[in-house]
Amino acid sequence: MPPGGGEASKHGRTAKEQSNPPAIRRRDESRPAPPFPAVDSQLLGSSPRQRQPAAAAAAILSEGPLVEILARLPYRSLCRFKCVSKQWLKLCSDPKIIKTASQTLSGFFHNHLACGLCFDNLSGGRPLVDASLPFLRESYERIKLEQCSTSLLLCKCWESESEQDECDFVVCNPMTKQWTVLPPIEWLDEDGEDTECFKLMYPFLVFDPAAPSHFVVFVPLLETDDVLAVYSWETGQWTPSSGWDNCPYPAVVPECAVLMNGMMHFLHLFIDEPLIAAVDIEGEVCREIHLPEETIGATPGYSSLGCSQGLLHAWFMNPLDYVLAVWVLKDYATEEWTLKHTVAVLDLFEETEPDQEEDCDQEDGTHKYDMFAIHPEHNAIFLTDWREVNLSYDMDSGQVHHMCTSGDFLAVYLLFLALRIWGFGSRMITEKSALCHVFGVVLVAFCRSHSSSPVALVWICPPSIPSYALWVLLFCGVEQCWLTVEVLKARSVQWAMLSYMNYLVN
Amino acid sequence: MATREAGKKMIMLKSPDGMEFEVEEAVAMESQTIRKMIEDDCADTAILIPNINSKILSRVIEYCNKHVPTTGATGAAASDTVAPAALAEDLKIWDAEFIKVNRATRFDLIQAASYLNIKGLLDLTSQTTIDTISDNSLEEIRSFLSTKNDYLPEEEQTIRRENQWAFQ
Repeated sequence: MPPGGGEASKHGRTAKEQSNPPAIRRRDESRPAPPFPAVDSQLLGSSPRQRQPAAAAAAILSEGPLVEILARLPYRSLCRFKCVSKQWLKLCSDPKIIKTASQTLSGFFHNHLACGLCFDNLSGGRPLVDASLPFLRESYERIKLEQCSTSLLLCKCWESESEQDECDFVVCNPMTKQWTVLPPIEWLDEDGEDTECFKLMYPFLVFDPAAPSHFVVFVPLLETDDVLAVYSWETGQWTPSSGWDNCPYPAVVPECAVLMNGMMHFLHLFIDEPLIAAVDIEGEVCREIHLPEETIGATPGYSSLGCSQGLLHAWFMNPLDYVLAVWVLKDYATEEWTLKHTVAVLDLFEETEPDQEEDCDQEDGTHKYDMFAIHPEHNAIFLTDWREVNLSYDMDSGQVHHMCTSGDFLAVYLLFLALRIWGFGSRMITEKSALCHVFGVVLVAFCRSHSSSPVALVWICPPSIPSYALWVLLFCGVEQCWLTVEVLKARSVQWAMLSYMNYLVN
Repeated sequence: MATREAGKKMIMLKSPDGMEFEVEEAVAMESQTIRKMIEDDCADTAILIPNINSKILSRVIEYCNKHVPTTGATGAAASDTVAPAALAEDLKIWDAEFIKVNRATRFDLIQAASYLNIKGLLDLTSQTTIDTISDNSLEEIRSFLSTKNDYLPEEEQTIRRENQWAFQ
């Protein structure tokens, strides 16, 4: 070994490394199995024996090259190749390989009014997962999907149909059918004497495919001043994080969040100088990234973030003419943004639906078009009109493809979730009025006014209220909750929101 | 093999079977592993490359020579008058030719590229193999890679059932 030769293992997989059995975590037998990409429990016992029969093959194909090959295969192929031999079974189940193998966008989850949760396979064919989550049905009567994060789902589950107040939050992996219930939020107070308990509301799931050994859940606490509860799978415990002390931006805006470089990036447009806040998985704010100057004044609800080819992307749509601009942060360190692509979204949809009627939907305040995801590897984006048509658009070739043509795909009210199965950052898309209609309340943003009390901005729209009305509800702590009702006409909603926020900040 | 030119630092690479290869530093630094050694000043004399025989090492150097991004290294590829697209096309054709080797050599190249951490070569060699096997049946893969099916029939059935979705 030459001096410094050991450095290779940092980047590549050296032959030496591969000859060891894969490191499979199994620290605590009593804990529920981790709901991340499969580590089949049946494999754990078989590793010591299995190399002998493979020895003959190893003469021709040692594990080193095989690992390199397998790591480049899509997850589906890995599962198929488990059947080749026991050596392959071991390798194809190795978390290290699964992690790198998974960089293929598989499909999207979406809620459908008539049939509940569905999964649409991007490559066509049968759904990869059973979206009815049968493995949860043994324990729960009613299940509602709250969020997808990479390959994990966060669900709200009720044990019975009738008792709607008692519910669990469950994190599950629909592929491996593993799941775990989030425990109640409690920790010892500062003196270490009493246990403080908090209500578990609005959890936000973060799962990093690059570190599949754990997921974390953020929960903004309404009871206290700007404290965030962070649950880590690894410790199985909640811990308070006060990293938001002096930060005037929201803690959790799921529809504008993406995980990259081990940090959550939240797009925050409700302030004077919009920015992206990077938050590590302990809940501490690490960084603020400024947006390109051209995007100042971008409209919340029409803009979002994504990660593609390892780079942070942000996109902004003009709500008047639906011109979409996709920006890429080429240099993370220097915050150098480049305009990657602009496209008139209306033209894309017109190409595919020439018979489309007039611009309806405008009056009820819903977005007519939205870019809801970016492909993790290719220069392709995904768009929806929130009704029937979903497109993928190739930014290089300009080609447009229908993703789903079935007329029953979208109803007017819909909770739309983008899922990238197996190992990508993912984002949740919520169609706000739909969400409100179905669930009553959506937490949109958390922020602080200068008067030091935390302000949660909540859009609420009960089903009894016409959908073009928007109620803005402001919490100021729990004791002195004051309520302002603003009924805003659809077209002025976004601007009214902005000016409202400016008023608060100033 | 490259010749010594003024202003160009040369690096000596040694294979375990005693062959020595003198290459330009820029070419050697296509390998992230060697780059690291050079940057850490661990490479003042010759660098011994373990586990890679001279036949494979010479092919790796051939690849690096072609792919090194400076001009004049190999003469044929780089010149100011050639458009980047044409250059990329040229490289692609060269790569396709380069990878026309037998299976054993290709696996040796994968191993070497993995150890030396040469991403381009690793991608090229692995992807070529994937293209060969990804659509094949299990039997074809077993025979292509000379892997023996060591499952008992019932074991194979169980594994197959658990991963049924991947076969559909």
